[in-house]
Amino acid sequence: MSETALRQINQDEIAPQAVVGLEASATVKDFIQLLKPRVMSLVVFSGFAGLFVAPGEIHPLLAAVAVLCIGVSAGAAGAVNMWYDRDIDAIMARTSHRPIPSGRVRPDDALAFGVILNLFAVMLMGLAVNWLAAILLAVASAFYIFIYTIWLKRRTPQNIVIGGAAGAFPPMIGWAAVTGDISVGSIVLFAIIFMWTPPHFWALALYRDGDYAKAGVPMLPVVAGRAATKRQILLYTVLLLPLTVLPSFLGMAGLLYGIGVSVLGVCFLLLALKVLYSRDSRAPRQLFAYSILYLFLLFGLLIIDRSPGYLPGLLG
Amino acid sequence: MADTEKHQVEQRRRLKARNWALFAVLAAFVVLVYFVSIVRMGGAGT
Repeated sequence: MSETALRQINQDEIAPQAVVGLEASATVKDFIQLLKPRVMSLVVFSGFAGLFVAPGEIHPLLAAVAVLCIGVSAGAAGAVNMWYDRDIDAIMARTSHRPIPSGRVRPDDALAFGVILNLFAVMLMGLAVNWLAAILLAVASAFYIFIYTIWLKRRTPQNIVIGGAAGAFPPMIGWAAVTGDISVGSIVLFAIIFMWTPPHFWALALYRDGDYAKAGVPMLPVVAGRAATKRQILLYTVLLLPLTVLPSFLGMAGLLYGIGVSVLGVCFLLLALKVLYSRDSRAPRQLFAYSILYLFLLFGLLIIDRSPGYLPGLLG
Repeated sequence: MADTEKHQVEQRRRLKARNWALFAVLAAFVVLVYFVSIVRMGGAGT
């Protein structure tokens, strides 16, 4: 589908910022939903991992504040994303139950909620932890809102490749909270999430391509077709695997992480190959679910590997 | 009519719950700033 055709869909089929909730019947739960809690959990975990493996020390309270700020800022950016995407969210089955398209939260309330929380998180990070971490937090949020949501998402099938950088910031922010700088270690953690993002989202897009096409979002399966998407998933998976073992070579992690992440990587690769050769939606669903588990386990291994005294414990 | 009243009661209940949640968040923020200040002034930061 050409970009012109997609623009036409946007103009013809989607009423401009269409569905507006007129009743202020939002509950606290609705506002929590605006923060995309499931996405936030992965962001918080990867941010904590960056903080945990960074060389240096930080007071536990300040570490908790840093993780809180990372989570709140990511959630707030999610709320602004839901505000901007409320027209296409109403069209897609996966997102039509969100608080704004279902009319439970007013769009303006969601925008104000997101902006205020974001400012709060960045200021708190700067005042309590350090200003480099705060600047990175602000950049991550701005990247997600302006570069991904507003600029790329509706314009190019490379939306989640470039936009994926926004989700790759948390470990770098956690690292900067401890060290006050950006070093090779934090760049490697950034690169791992950056390379993980395309296979993760394209696996989802493979079984939700009808939804995206209906909403005029040019995800790769909609624009380039399923076969091309499957090849791209495999390509990014192959690029991801060597990156994931780099922490062991750089001395950020040891043997446990190296072996563990290699096994997890082989499973990822096998699932990507299964997606390539399968015709139904089962394999993409499996890959999508596994990719989430994969990232949790990868950072979990990194944390365990850096935990003092894990080896004596394991060896009895 | 009864429906409207019921709806208004529900609206008020939700508004009250939101106000309490906001109060809790602000109170937690005050406590957090207090303890962060102590840590920072004690030189126990990074």
